Amino acid sequence: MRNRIRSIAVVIGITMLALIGTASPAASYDLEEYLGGAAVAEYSGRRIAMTLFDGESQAGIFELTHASQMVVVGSGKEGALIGPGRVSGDTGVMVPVWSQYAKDDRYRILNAEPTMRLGRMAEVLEVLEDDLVRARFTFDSLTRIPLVTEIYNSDGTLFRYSAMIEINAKPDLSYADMEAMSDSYDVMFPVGNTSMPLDAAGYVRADTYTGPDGTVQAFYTDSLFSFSLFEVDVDAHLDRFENAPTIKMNGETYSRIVTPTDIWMSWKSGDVAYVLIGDLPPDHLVKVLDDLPRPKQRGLFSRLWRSIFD
Amino acid sequence: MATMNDMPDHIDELLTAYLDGELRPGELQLVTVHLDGCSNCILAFHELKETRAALRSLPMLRAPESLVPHGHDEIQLSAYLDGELPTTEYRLVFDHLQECADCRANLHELDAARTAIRSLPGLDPPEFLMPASRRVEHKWPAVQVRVAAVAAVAAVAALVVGVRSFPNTAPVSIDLDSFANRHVARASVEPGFQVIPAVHSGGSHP
Repeated sequence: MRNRIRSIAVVIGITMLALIGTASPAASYDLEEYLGGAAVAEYSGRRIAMTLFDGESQAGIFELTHASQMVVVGSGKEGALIGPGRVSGDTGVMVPVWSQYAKDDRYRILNAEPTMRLGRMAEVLEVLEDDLVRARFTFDSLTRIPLVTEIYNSDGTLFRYSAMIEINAKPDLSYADMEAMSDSYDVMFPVGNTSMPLDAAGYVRADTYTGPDGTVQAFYTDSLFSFSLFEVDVDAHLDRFENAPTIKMNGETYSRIVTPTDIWMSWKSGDVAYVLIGDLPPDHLVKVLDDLPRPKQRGLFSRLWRSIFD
Repeated sequence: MATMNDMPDHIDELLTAYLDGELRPGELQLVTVHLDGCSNCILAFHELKETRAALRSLPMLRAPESLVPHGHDEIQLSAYLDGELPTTEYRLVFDHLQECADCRANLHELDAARTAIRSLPGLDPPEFLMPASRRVEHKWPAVQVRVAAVAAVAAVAALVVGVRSFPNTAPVSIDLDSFANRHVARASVEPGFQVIPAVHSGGSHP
């Protein structure tokens, strides 16, 4: 009698699980699960990346090895090791602490369609922001390697494309030898007091740091895209922006630089100059800039004072 | 001729005046005649003379602070600066200044203020106080007004342009690659970073 009751309970349980599973298939497509899988995937290969912004396109192909939540881009002396929380280089950068962003429901997955990519089983996920297809990701079904990434503007045009063009799912883990690439690191320490806004157009200021040069960096994220806002002296010489093209946004003029994976913006506001670096799409960028300090000329007396005494 | 009977009772006053050289001609003859025949007065005269000599030989004594007239009085300092103090007060103020740092500081401030005021350019009286004829003299011709206005505008423009183009002494040069690295370092712990790892600026940047 006891065995019969146990058997009935097991059958009911299995049936309930089956019913729940078929009743809401979208619940199994959690973007966080895919991104979490991508973070721990181990692979190497070549990736093409391209960004189209303001009539300009920048593209590049680079080698990478991904393992243990680290990415090695390039190889040899030209290579660099990225993450978690650091970048190696001539002088490395290290972020010793960071906060966890409390995710909201800004993005959701519409569906996950099976496909083939580079001869591998894959799934295409459409990521919606409200009713807009914001991104389309193709993940390797087995390993969650991000094979293709497409990011779209609010008008449906392509903003960024990134795809693995060669892949090795059993990588040579020589990245471990690259630990010593940087002899020293600039450690970015958290700071509490800053005039940077707490949020901007849905992006939350997760952390604020300052480095050895005293420059303040505020890091903003919306869980999928992110940008850093740097505050520097208005008279600082920003080398790459010297001959950079300008763009009008919200009726203001900004200097801008396009890279295959990022947009860089710069503007002056009173006695401060700002540099924004991030991967956010253009329509997000417009709204973010609208919430950040606007471009503004420095006052006559301020210029006079600084020209005399600085 | 004057006799002892002609001598006035207040001989002491006459002797003192005699020593001070302040006797009138008639009095001088009386005292001289009297001293010629009066040993007491001669003695008194010599005693007075010696007393005065003794007093003169005594060292100078500093007056007590309480007796110094207005030791910290700015008005007295002002008179001191102007050379308007009597000799005795001048000496007292001078001595006080050697001892009192506060008054010395006040004196210097007062002196500096006076110097600054003296260095100010002279001001013309207000227009309405000037005689009518002089007002006409100061009225600029229209051409001069226009020239002055143009010159003022040009000066302001030159100032603005000069300020804008004034080379800053040592502008800090920012290596934007380091900014990109800082962003990538922090972004590398974000889940979204996994889908498009940023191209490292120092790496194989196309």
